[in-house]
Amino acid sequence: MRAVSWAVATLTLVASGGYALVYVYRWEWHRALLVGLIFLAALIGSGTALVLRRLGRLERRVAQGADRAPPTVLHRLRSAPVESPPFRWLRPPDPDRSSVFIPFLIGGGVLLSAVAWLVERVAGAAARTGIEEELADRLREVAFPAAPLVPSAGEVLAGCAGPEDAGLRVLLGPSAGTPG
Amino acid sequence: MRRLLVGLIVAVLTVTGLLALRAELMTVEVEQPEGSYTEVLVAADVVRENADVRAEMTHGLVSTCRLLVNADVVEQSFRAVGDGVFAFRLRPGLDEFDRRELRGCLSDLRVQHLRVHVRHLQTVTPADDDRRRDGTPAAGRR
Repeated sequence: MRAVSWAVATLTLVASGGYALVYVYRWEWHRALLVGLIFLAALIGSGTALVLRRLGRLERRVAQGADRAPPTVLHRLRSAPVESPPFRWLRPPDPDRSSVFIPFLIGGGVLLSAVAWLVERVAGAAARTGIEEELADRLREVAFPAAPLVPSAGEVLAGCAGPEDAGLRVLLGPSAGTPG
Repeated sequence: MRRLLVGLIVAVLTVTGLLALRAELMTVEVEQPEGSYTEVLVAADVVRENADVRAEMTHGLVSTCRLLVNADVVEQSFRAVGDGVFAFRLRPGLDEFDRRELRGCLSDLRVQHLRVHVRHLQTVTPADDDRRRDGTPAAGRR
């Protein structure tokens, strides 16, 4: 019965689709519209049936899986090893084996890192003093002069102020005042 | 590989079909000679209707379809030439694309309970008329 339904649906689809094209080809629009509607209906019906069939199959599969799952899981749990001896690598059957190589390597790496950190801290503390003194010397060279470059109005009136550097006086012009 | 081949065949068929449809559904206007006309002969059949209204229904269908092709039915040219067979003439003459459209329109199910079969559809030019008078076969376009 199901096969007959699918055969009828397929036949309807093919026939209506073909006739729709033929009618369009012949400029018979009303006929094309009619068979186009049949084609559309058959297409929607077939598509829905396909989707429902797939859903039904999935549903059956899920139901079968649900029935079968508990014994399988239980069986697997029971067949699994109960407990493995801890730190098996620390108790090699053969003392010549180097199974502890990697833990030693990791431990050595940690120790080396600690030593390196300590060295870095000591070296930083020792070098900081010298570096700071050197930086203070450099900054002193570029610091502003203690006396202002341009004398104040009072100093200009008194005629006793002005930069001592002759080149700087030329650069600043009359506002630098006249040397006393 | 097989899937690719099937896809290729489907693509070729689709493109061919579309090109054929495009060629058949073109609406290019081809100028017809002055004085040309189109002769049409149709056989009409009614379903679940009185046969007396067959001529009226066919005339209505012709009036509708001639609007599509922008040609006039020549006055008094619509006449019954047999039982359910009608002839009429359109002027100016229809080009190839209009003839296709008119044939489709007349054969279509535009009027309920009326089925029309186009038996003859030909555009006749004045040159064809001259040949007819001379007795040589006309080269009208069907």
